[in-house]
Amino acid sequence: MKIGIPGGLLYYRYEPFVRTFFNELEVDAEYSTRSNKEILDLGARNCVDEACLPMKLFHGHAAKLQKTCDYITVPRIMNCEFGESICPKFRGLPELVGSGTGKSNQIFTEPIYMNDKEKLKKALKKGCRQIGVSDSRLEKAFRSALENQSNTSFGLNEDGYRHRVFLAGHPYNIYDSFANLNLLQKLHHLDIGVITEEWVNRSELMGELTGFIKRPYWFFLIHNFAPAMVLMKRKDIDGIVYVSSFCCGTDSVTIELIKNSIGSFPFLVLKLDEQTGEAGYNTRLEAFREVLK
Amino acid sequence: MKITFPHIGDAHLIGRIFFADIGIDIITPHPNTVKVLEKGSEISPDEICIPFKLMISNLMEAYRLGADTVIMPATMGPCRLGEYGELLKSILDKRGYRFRWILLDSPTDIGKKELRRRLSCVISDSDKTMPQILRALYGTYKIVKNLELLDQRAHILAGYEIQKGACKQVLTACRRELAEVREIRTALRIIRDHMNGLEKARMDFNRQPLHLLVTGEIFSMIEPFANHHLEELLMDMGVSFEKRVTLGWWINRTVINPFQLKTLYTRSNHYLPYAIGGYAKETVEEGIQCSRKGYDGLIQVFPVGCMPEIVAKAVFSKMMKEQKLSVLTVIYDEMDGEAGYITRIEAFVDMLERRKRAGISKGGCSARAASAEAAVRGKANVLSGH
Repeated sequence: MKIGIPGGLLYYRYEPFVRTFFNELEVDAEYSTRSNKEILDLGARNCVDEACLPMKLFHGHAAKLQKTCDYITVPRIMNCEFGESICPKFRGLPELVGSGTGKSNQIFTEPIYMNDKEKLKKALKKGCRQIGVSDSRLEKAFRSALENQSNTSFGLNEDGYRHRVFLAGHPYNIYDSFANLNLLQKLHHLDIGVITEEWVNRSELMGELTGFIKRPYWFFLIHNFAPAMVLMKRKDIDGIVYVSSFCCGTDSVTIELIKNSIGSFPFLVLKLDEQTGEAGYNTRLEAFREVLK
Repeated sequence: MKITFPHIGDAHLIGRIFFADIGIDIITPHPNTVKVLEKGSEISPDEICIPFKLMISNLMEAYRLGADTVIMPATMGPCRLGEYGELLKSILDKRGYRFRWILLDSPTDIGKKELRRRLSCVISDSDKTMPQILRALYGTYKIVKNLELLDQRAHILAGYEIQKGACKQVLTACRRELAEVREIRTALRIIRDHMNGLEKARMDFNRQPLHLLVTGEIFSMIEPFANHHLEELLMDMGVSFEKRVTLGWWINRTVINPFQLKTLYTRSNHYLPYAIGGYAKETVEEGIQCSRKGYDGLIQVFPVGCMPEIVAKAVFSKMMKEQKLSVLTVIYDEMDGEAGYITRIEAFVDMLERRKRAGISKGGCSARAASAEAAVRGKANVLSGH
């Protein structure tokens, strides 16, 4: 029995957890490769047309693994560590993948509430029983996976470049170098270093959110809007680069809120879609560098 | 304090009667048109959904007419509606529209006390006593319900009318008269009169029109402009249809029965078992009903980029393979050219009609025709289906 683990969406954030967890379970797991053209084409063919690029890439990963694996893990993430929600598509991910690829061999589809460890364990337990793993082994795997996740540090904070920008966006857009057309390398080439939201601590984040008339509930709104404000006020950065996917629902709100609060501070929004032509993209980055000067 | 809120279907028509009854004047912006949408798009972010663009335009208009307080319903779901208030405030503040905002969140997020405080803000200008206000609230609820019954009945009878457009005329006449009314009792009487008028219209019950179900994203369902007047189009085509996602349905779900006590165990939905935000789960449930109860087809409506309904669309594509279900998904955007939409809907209706005729000539479709007729003849059916 082989279990496929698609390397898309929040895998970029929870990789240590997922890797340790499945290693400790001692099951035969296959990880998909980094995204590439083949995966994108597969995804675009299998996914509902209106979905965004990261969703299509995830479908591509899943469809590719389905050729060789008996089961595919498709998590249903309802909310994140502090109760923030992500996007309705994450909550309906098993259904999306199921109807897109036409197969119903998805496992670990129980709703995951990451703000409650017991609930999280319960959800994983149901998945483990599906593949015949004992509860005691799950217990051990869960503990070391959590430990590994919290011991791993994420984020980029680069020194030694002429300019420094806050690279905002969702982790699967920032760290997937195929989706963002090698953005990091391109920025370095233009002598621009980046810092990411992981370098702003939680108390600072919360401090920036007090001006709202309502407590925001999206993970990516909190984790992009607030760090942008913090870093700008700290004068740590020369500009903000927001890498977003075309037709992203949450970003349409986040970007507007940032725009309305930063005044004339340099701000570049890059939209990613299925096109892989780089010329327009490069020109915009070069123009942004001129603005930073 | 001058209250306003964005247009959503009959909310202003009915809301005005309620507030007039308790002695508060509200500001009603112009009904939604292409111009209104254009004005909204100018200052909204590109990729936000269409309801937002309409709402922001409504509020700007209301500000010009003298409104200073906005009531907005809000959710804590992952759907964008919950952040509308925040974004509206951010954009409007920047442009100098200084409103006071009253966000009506669900009590699980802000607490009952806070919700009560916000509600009391809304009615602080009224000189009526609490029992009078509650009575007005109940009367308003009755208006919503009765108007929806009238709508529902007209939608079904549209397939059987002998004189083309009779049902549509009743609905427009009723709404025109309601716009003049300032008392709840008169409003209820007007609706009752029109209900009687509808019953008197001549019908041909030997016909076997198509019986469709219309469902989708809630704003597009309730606000006629957001679905390019789909209901009128279907009525003109002589199709008999039902629409369950309405203002009264929303009130029932969120205000009167927020925990879904009755429906909890009666509905099983293995296609989309979890609430994912918005009303995607409910849309899928409508689809299941559609295949079970013998409707001829389903039309799903949503604005471009709506996150929850995209999931519902994917689920429908799976259901279409597994069950006998015909779905047309119509996605509306800012383009005001209607010809394309009309052609697609006509083609869908045409296809279903051919299929139905073929089925009847073979004598196979009697069950469907019977169920449609039952819905027409028995008024009780309409009531229980509500």
